[in-house]
Amino acid sequence: MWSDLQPFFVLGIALGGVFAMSGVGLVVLYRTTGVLNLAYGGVGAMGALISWTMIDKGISGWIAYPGCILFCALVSLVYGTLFAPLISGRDSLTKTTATLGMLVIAIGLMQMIWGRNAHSITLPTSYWNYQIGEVRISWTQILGVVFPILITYGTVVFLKKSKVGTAMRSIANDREITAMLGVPVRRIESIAWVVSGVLCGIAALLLANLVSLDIVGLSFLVVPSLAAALIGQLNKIWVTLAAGFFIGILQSSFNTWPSVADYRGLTPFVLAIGALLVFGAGKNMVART
Amino acid sequence: MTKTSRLSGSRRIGSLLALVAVASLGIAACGSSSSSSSDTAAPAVADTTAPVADAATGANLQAPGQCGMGTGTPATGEPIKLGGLATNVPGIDFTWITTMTGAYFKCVNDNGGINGRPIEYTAVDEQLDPTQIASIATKLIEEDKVLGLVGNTSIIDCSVNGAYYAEKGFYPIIAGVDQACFTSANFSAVNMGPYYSSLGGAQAALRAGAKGTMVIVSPNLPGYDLIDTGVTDFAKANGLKAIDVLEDVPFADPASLAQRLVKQAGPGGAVVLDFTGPVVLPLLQAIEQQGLIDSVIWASSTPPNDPSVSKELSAKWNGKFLVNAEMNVLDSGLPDQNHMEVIRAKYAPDLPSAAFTQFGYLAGRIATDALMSIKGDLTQESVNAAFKGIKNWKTDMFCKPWYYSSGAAGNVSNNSDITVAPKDGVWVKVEDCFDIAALPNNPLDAIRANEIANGLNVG
Repeated sequence: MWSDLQPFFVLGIALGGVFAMSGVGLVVLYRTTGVLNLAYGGVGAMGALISWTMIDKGISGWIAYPGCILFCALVSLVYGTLFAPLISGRDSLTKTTATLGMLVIAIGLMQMIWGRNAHSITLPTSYWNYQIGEVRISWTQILGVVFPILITYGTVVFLKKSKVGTAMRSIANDREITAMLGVPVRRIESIAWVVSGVLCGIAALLLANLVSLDIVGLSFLVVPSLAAALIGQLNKIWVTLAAGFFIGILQSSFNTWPSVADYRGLTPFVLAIGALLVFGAGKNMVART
Repeated sequence: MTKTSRLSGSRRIGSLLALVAVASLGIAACGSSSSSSSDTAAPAVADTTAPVADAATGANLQAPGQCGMGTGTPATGEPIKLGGLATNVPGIDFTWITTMTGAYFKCVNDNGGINGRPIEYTAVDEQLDPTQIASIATKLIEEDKVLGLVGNTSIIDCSVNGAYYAEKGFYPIIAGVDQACFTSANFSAVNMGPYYSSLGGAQAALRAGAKGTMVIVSPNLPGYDLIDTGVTDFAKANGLKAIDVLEDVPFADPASLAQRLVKQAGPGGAVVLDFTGPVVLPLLQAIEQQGLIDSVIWASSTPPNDPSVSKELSAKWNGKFLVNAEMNVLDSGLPDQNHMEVIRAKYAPDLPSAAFTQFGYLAGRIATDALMSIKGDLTQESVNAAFKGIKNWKTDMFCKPWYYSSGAAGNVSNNSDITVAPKDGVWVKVEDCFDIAALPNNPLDAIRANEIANGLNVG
């Protein structure tokens, strides 16, 4: 049994790690701004395609890959400073719906510019592989496990110990009071958008390598990340991390049984719905009006 | 003081989840789009050599830049309306075919049209909604009054609209997908479709030494379970175990999928893939990363025969991915292939040079030759009669001349083709023309008998 399950379990850990990292990025942004950024995957996909184009034109990966991260951070910053403030007084659902607009624009632009051909990214870390049983693990997959843990730890420490992190937690609690206390709320929110954008860019590069550089596929890989964030109640970062890993492992492990494998795509949805039912209406989730 | 209100968590988050689900569906099912081509672009490069184009005899050589009448003068008369439709959903984009068909018609229009009349081609995208595709067909035929349908490439068009087209006397020239396209006398495809193309891939895999189990993997979309029966029937007929796998596209976990397919095929087995190039590429790269290239024999239907795919494959794949190519290789250097490249570069530069582009080119060219052969008025009746009457239509892209109507139960005019494999970033021919296997559940035996009896594709 374990010998059949083992390769899928191992592969699922790396994938789940990237879901976890994306989920942490979503939670950090939500906690600070009240926005659940549904364009997370779309912006990341566009950044990854820009990297692909740069490499295709002969530009070194050492420039192209940071270029993806920079693009995602910039787009997030522009949205966060120009558009998000216009609806900052609205409820979370409205603010989240607005990010759908950004997603649709991103997908449309990507289809126009890159739509027809096949694209792929192979990070330099994918060329070093180790055999674990039947599975070959690359350094990219190892990074997909290590990065999220480090980033989550760093995020928790940042939120607890730093002035900016404290301000973010304060804004999450009550934006109006925080503003009245003289905290530069818009600047703090912009920082949250940038941090989220950076995580988006890193996740996009890893997912483009581990899954595919497909416009729609990569854009909608936000769904497992979203499921991880929802299981973490859009608030608990370590829970989000664990949930991301769990989703990846479970989804991949279903490949062990061909009769069940066909339904593994439902994994993030079922887990998210389950989390909602378990945590239920009686639990409080911090939100912003 | 404004209090931060506590969310009713499950309701709010439930709304957000519903929003995500609806958004996913909504973006995937964006409304149909249409494009038309009757504009007079810049005049084609003048070439005084008259085209040798005769649909009746099938000698179809044309000089580069020439199409149709080959006059070099834009057509300005009353437009001849033609229509087409193509599936366009995430993971499945068949608009390459209709776009290239439209490009060919633009070239025709720049070269005098059909006796001075330009072709006005309306190509509509469809999103696998039977109601939508039925309304598209009705609109094209009854409102837009198109005289014929060319380049249709849809997963469900033949099933949904076949009876309607028969009722209206339409004989579309298509690139078929749905098996219904090949079991009806009312359609004739320039390609052989995924059923026969996957079967060709399976044949190549068997010749390469596949034993034990043969796995066919295709998109989890309507009709593909039937499409896969060609491979499963062939495997069983040759003493192999057959497994049919339907996968959602794009793949959520290519590395895990690669491991699973290898386990299912077993040592010495074969896996026949049936996906478009952009979809299958991540799987191929995961297969390589996992060190699974030599674990089984990998084969495929036509769509990955696309330079953007071979370019992304490393040398480890050289000769190890057997792709059934329904047309001749893209770098054959032969006249029709070169002709296609010139037209593509001028009128559809965003399209890659790929198998789908070849389909669109041939559909447009066959239709044009048929239109040019009509003596008298161009009506829905005369146009469709001309389409249906095509035989012995030669091109260096096919193994044998093409014809519309086999006289048997369904048309599979392109039923012989080649195998290609990647080599150093390009596709090369590894097997020359071979006949796709006749099986008890396909009509190829009867079709080939009729070909001989009626001289439909004599060399």
